[in-house]
Amino acid sequence: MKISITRKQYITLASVLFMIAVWKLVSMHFRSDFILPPPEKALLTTFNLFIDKGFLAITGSTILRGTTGFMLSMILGIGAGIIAGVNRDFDAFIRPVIVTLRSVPVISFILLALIWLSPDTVPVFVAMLTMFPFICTNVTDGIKSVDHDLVEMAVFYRVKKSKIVREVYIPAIMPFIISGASSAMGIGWRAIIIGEVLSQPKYGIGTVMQNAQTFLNVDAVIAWTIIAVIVSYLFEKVIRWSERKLITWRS
Amino acid sequence: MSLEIKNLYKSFGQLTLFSDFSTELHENTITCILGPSGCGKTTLLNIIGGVIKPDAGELTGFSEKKISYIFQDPRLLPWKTAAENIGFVLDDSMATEERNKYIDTFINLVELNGFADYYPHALSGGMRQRVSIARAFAFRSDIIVMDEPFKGLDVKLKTNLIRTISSVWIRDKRTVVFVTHDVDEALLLGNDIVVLSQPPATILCKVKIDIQVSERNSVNTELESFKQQLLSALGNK
Repeated sequence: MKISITRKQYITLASVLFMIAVWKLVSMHFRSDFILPPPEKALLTTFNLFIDKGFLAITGSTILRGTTGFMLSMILGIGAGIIAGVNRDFDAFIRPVIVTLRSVPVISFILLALIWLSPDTVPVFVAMLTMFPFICTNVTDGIKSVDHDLVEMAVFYRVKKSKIVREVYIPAIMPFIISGASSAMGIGWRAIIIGEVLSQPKYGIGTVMQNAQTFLNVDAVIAWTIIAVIVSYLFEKVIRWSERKLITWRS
Repeated sequence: MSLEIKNLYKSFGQLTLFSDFSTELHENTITCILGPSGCGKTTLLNIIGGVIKPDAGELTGFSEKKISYIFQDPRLLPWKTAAENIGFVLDDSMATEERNKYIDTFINLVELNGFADYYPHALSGGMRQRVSIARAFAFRSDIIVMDEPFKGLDVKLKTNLIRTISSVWIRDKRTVVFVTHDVDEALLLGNDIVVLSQPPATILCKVKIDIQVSERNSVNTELESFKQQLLSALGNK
């Protein structure tokens, strides 16, 4: 296979190099690891974290929280989204709930959850509340967008209702579920980490970031940030991959 | 036994489409209902299909009949291949192998050999309509209803599709009710042609054509005289 680099990829690379150069220049100006360590030091710290024995427990806990919150919001979001898509009354009922969830600052959920829940569940709860609206509204939009002519065709041919749901509705809303999942994930990871910073569970990326900040280990804060970005990126890849697997019919 | 529509009444608000309308449809015949747009042709099909209830009137011979549809647009599921789209309307009781063979027969009948596994987006408009024709014939129906299936297609494509439909139709001579506003389409495919007026619908003229579809062309003089008859009934020159 021939690997060719497009013009766009060159520009992307240039952009990344530019950001690192700015980082390097700023760090050279301050000349203090307590303010901003140089990029090579932060990258070395990141690399060392990967081989640190606590790495798996810390990152694993955060991932577990993320996926749990994500699953819960998927179940609730798809369920509520389908009902809202087929029932106008429920749609009107759930809409204010979603608008409220969307406009409440994430930090308010966290502060309240800290009072109500254990440190381990706070981030999950917060992630679930922030992800739910995205999935729910996308599923509702998906159901509303189902081509009425196709449903009519199926009804005219006397196709069974359960088959119409399985083979007309579900494939039609699948792209909406995936794009909802993708935006939910993007927001969800951030919510999880903020939740961990404040609730301080035993293991978690947010927990170690907060500790590093307390001791002015700026390189560790940056290193964990890089890891958080990688985790988020990998999950985005998983979603894109499942999109290709599930939606094979699009060119 | 023939299918009958007796004393049909149907209105939508102020608009009366049918008022004491009666007609007869012969079985194993392609009946073409020709009329200006807005004359209630689609409504008549929907009443035949049992999708719309008439305000009053009697339909005899239609109950328990299974109906296939060919719509103006192909209405294929974009996430299913040509073969899967045909399979979608079929009874699930057939064994997989037999079923695939059965579907293949119809794919070949509409001359889509080799395209069974193509998704609709990869097929041309005419090919998609062929899939929908195959679906209608593959479905074990008693009546096939076609609602302007050639609208918006160019003359060459239209003629090709009409030839295809006719060659598939010959196999079991199913009862077809075909609705159009286009005189040439009616002349090419119809055995019985019924011309409807502006609403409320009355029958302006009835024509019976016994010429083989393959021999119907613009130089056929007999067809030309039928054409004049239909045009004058529709009030055109």
